[in-house]
Amino acid sequence: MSGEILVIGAGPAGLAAVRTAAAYGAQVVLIDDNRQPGGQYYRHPASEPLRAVHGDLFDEATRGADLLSAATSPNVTHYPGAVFYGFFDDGIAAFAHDDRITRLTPGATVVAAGATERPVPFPGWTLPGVMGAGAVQNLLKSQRTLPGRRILVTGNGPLTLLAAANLVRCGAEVIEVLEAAANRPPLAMIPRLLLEPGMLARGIGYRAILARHRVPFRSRHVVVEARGGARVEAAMVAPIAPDGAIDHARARTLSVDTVVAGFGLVPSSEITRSIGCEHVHDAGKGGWIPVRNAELETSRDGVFAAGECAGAAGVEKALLEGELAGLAAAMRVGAAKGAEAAAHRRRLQRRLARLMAFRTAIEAIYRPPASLLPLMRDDTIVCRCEEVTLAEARRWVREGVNEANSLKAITRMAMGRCQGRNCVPTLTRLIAAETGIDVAEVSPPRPRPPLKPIGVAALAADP
Amino acid sequence: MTLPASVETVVVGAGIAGLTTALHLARAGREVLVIDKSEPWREGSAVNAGTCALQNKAPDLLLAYREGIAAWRELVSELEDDIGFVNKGGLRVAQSTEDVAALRTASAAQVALGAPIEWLEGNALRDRAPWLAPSVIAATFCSEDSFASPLLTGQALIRAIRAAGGAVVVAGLAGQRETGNGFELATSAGAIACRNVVIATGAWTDRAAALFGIRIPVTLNINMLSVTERVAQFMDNLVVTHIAGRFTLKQFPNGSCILGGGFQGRGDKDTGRKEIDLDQLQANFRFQCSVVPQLRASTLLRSWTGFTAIAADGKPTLGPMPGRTGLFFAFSTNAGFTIGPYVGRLISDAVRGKPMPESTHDFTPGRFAA
Amino acid sequence: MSGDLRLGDAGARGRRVVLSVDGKPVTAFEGETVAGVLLAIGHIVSRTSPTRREARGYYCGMGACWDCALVIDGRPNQRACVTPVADGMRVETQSGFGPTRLA
Repeated sequence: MSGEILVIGAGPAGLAAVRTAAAYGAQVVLIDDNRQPGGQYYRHPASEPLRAVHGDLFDEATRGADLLSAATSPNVTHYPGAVFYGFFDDGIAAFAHDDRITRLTPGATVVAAGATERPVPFPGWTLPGVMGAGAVQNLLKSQRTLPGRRILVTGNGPLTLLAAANLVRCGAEVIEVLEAAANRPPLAMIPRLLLEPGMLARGIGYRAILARHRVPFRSRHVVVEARGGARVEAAMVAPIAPDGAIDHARARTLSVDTVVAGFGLVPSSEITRSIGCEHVHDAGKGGWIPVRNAELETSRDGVFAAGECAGAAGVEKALLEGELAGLAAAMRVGAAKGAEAAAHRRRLQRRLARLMAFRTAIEAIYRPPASLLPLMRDDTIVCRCEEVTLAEARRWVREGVNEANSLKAITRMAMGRCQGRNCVPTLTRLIAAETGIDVAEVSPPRPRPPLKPIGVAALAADP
Repeated sequence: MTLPASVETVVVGAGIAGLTTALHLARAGREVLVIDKSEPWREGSAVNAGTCALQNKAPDLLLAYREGIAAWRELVSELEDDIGFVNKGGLRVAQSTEDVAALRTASAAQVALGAPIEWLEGNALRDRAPWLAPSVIAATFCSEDSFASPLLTGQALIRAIRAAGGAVVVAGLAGQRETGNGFELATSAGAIACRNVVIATGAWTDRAAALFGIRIPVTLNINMLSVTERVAQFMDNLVVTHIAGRFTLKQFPNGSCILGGGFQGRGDKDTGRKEIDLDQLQANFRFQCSVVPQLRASTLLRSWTGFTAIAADGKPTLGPMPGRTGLFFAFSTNAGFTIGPYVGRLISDAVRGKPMPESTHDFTPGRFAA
Repeated sequence: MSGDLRLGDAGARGRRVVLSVDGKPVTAFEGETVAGVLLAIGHIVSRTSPTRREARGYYCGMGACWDCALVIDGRPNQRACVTPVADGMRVETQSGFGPTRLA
C-alpha cells in the first residue's frame, strides 16, 4: 500500500469518497473549511434538539447522518476548518489549519470541492436582502431563520425551486417564484425522466407545495431589478420572450424585502484548474469541469474529481461519484483490489450512467435563456469585491483586452477575496459576447494558490 | 493578426522598456511595431512588485536608477490613464547591529552621490513609522523612493502607443536575416522587414541575442510576490526595503499590500513553467512579518512568480550593438521596472540617431564579446 | 414587527448568549452564526463597501463571497456567515476597510 488518500471537501461527494476508501482500509486525510462535515447539503442544525424538531422537513439531514460518521472512522484524519492552499512541486499538497500550514504528499487525491452559486448580475443585486438559493437553504436548515418577511424567489434550476418550497414549508411569505427557463421537458426526454421516478416525484412535490400555498410559479420570468436604499424594498420582474429577450415593457413591481436569486451552480474547479488538469466547458453542468476517465481520474495522474466540482448535477450524482472516486483512489493506493473491487466499480459506473441520462432531461427542462447579460445596466456591479461596473469592464474589452488574465489585471475583476467566484463567469461571458465567440472558447484566468484566502499568520508561523 | 510587410522599427518585448521605447518613437512620428511572444505586458514588468526605489540599489548604478525615477514622473504626466504612481518616499530598515553598520556604509555612499537620504533611529523612527516592529532599530528615509501599479501601467502604455499610431501584437521572434538595409525577422505571426530592431526581452535577452549571434550571459531569477486582501491604510504609502536585501513591501492606494523582495520560486523560462516554492514563500512571510507585524492580521489572496534576469556583470545592457547597424538592446537587468522608462527614453533617442550619454558607455551590448 | 424571524422553536435552540451589535445587546443562541442572528433581528447591512460606499450583506451564505464581512471583537473583515456566536461577542457594522488592527 502506498500513501494516504487526500480528500478535499467534506460534502456529499467527499464524505462518500471517505466512507468508501476507509471501508477498503485506506488511510484517509479529509480537509474542509467548514467546522463540521456535511458541506452545503448536509447542513447541521444550529443545535441537536432542532434536528429532532425539524428533521422531517429536511429528509436530507436524516439521510446524511450515517455519511457524516465517515469523518470519524478510525483510519480517517479529519481537519475541520482547514483551508486548502494548493498543490506544489513534487505532488505536495498544503492546507492552512490552526494558524499554520500543513503539508502532505498523498498517494491519491479526491477533489470534492463542491460548487458555488452562479453569479447573475442585475441592477441592485448587491443590495442587502438579495441572496442566493444556497444562502437561503443554509438559513433555513442550519439557522432556522427566515431571510425576510416578503420574499421573491427568482432564478434557474431545481435548487431554486427547492429553496422556494422550503421557504413555504417554513411558513415564509413567498410572493412569487420565477424560473427563467421554459421549464417543459422536450418529448424525447420524457423516457429519461422516468429513469429516476423517486427524484422526479420529489421535484413534482416541490411544485405541489407551492401550488398548495397558492404561490404563483412563473416560467420564463426573471427579476430585472432590486430596488431600495440600504436594503431591498421592491423588485421589478419581467417575462422572457421565447427568443430569450427580456420584455422590459411588461415589467411589474413587487413590494418585497428579500430577493432570493438562484441561477444554478458553478462547479468549483479552481483546484483542478490550478494544477493544470485538462478542462472542458459544459454549460449544462455549470461551466468548466475537469475531463475525467471512467474512474473519475483527471488528466493529472492520481487526482480524481467527484461531485459538483466536476459538474453540478445534484446530490445523488455527487454521492455516486464520491463513492466511485473513493474506490478508485483506494485501488490506486493498493487498499482496494481484486474481483470484488472491480465488481463494485462496475456497479457504480452503471448506476452513474443511468443517473446522468436522467440529468440530461433535467438540464433540458432548465435550459436557461441564451444570455442573461442584458439584465445588466452600465452601472451594474460585475465584481462585488473590487466594485467594478459593467461599463468599466466592457470598456477594456472594447479596447482589445479580450483575454481573461489581461482583463483581470486591468480591471481588478477576480482579484478580490472571493478569488473570482462571483465574477469570473460574468467576465468570460462578457468577453464572449463582445467578441462574438462562444463562451466555451474563453478560458477563465488560471487560479493561483491560495485558492481561498489564507491568514498571513499561518504562512508566517514558525516551521 | 497579420503583420505588415515592413515597418521602420520593431521592438521585441512588450514590457516596460519595450513599451516606453515604442511610445517615444511613436510620439516622435516614427513607425513602430511592438511584438511579444505572448499577450503583451505579461512577464517581468507586469508581475513585479511595482517598486521604483532608489536606496535599495547599488551605488555604481544609483545615478541610472535616479534617472529612472525621474522618467517615471515624466511618464505620469505624459499618459492619459492613471498608472498608480506614488512618490511618498521609502524606508530601508536595519534589524541588527550588523545591519546598522551596513546601512551606515551604504547610505553614506548614496549620500555622497547626492541621494536625498535621512538617517532615522529611536523616537524619530518610531514617530515616522509606528507600524515597524521594535526589532527595527534604524532606517534610512529616501524621498525619491516610489512605486507604480504594474497592473495599470501596461494597458496605459499600450493605449498611448496605439493612439500615437504604433501597434502592439502577439508574435514571437523566431529568427532573423540581415538584408543590408536592415533586417528580415521571422516571427510566429509571419515575416516582417524592418530597419531597426530593439531587443527589450527582459529575462529572455540571452535567447533573443543568440538569434543575432550575440552572447549576453544572464542569470535567471524567479521572484515570488504576494498580495494581501485590501485593508485600511497603515503604512503611509511608504516603500519598505531592508539593508539585508530580499525585502520590498508597500501598500497600494487600494489597500492591498504587496510582499516582494526576491525570494525564489521554481521554473524554466523556456517552457514558461513557474511555481511557488512553499518553503521560500514561508521564509518570505516570516521575514516580512518580523519587520511589519501587523501584516499577520491580514489574509493572503495570491502569490505568483516572475522571471527577471541579471547580466553576468550585473549592469544594464543598453544602446546600439557596435558594428551591427540598426540593432539595439534595451535590457535593464535587475530592477528593470524602476529604470524602465529611462531605458525607453535612451533607446528611442538612440534609434533616432542620438548618441548614448557617456554615463551609459559601460552598458554597451558589445562588452560581452564572444 | 412581531419579534424576530427565527422559526418558532426557541425551546429547541442552544444555550442563550448575549452579544452586542453596534453597541446594543442582542440575545442569541449557541450554535447560531453571526449572520443567522443578524438576519433574524433584521440587521441585514453588514458593511459599506470601501469604494462606492454601498451597503452590503449576507449573499452566498457559505463563506465564499465575503460580502457579509464585518467587524467582530475589533477585527475587521470577519465573515458573519461562518462565524459562530459567542457570549460577550462584539459585532459592528463595517465601514469600508474597517479599523486598522494590531496583530
